[in-house]
Amino acid sequence: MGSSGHDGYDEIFRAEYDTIVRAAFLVTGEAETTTEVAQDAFAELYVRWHKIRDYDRPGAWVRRVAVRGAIRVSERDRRRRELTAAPISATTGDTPDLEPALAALSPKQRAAVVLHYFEDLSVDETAETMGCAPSTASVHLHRARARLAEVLGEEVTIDAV
Amino acid sequence: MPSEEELRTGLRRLSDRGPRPTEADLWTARDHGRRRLRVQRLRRGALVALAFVAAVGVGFALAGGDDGTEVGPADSPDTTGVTPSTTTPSTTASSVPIDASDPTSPTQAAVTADQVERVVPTGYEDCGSVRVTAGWPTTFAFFGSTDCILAAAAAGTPAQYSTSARDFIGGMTGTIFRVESLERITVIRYEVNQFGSVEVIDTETCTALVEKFPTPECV
Repeated sequence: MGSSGHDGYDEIFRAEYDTIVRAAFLVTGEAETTTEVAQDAFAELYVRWHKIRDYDRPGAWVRRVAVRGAIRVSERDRRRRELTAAPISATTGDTPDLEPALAALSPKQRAAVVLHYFEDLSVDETAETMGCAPSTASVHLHRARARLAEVLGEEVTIDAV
Repeated sequence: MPSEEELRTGLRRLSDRGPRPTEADLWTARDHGRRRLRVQRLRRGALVALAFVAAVGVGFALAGGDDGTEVGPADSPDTTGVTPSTTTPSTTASSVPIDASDPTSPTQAAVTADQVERVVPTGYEDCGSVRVTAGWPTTFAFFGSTDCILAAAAAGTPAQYSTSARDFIGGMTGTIFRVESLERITVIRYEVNQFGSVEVIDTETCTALVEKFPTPECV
């Protein structure tokens, strides 16, 4: 399908979609919601493509929309059900299963952890993506680390951010 | 004791449990995007229509009520472009009146650019062009027949049909339906700003046209 008005859209989609889906899944913890969030972000990108295609990093824009969407739906779902932090149910090799530990975090804490440790974004970039101040992102990361250590029953050795 | 590296590894492993993207996701995202664009345009059109009604109402009020003038069919030559013709190009919009005092009237530059966009290529049947808001603000033109372009799409014979409407800031938006061959129809959506600059918003290739007002639907 030709698309002179949307040239480059498919390339951005193929380059970014997988990573964004993974990040959104880590934040929401639900496959169905994740797909909705990612699709919504890329549909919005399609609508605004004539402007965003000129951005230096169009992928950063759609990632921001997706992560904020994931936080929003997670907070909505969180109100519906009380999250309980279960102890680690399984470990794979030397790596603990993070699913129950992540579930014990707030959506914003999860997003901060995912952006910083999964996407390898700096604290400033994490803050920009989440739409908050760097100091706020640092607080989210700090509290997330503390909570992870508590849930995992171990101390998490992490460099200061 | 989990280190940062173990945390990263754990996150990567966990992310593998999520949904796996497929090529169909791209099509779905594009489809959702197109639908949103359509909704945006419909809303924009509704605003224009609302402003039109308000303007007519205010005009009557200022004139002291109904002066007996009937609101009749548009007399703009452009609205007659819906009549299928194999000889007359669809650029008859040049006679659309430009009211410089009306901020909702498209500028001459926008109209000129719009005409250029809608020129029927050689060898294509001219199924007409419709300017939705021709006659503004005294008359209101409704869409004409799309039978010609629908028949051409079904038969696979080269043909073109287009619609356009002015926006509220002196520009225009338009859609061109161009049947290239059997099951190959190009749909071009464009905008012309008040200065006459043309931007193609979206070009879509589809296999059929379905009758739907105000414009056929591309499937």
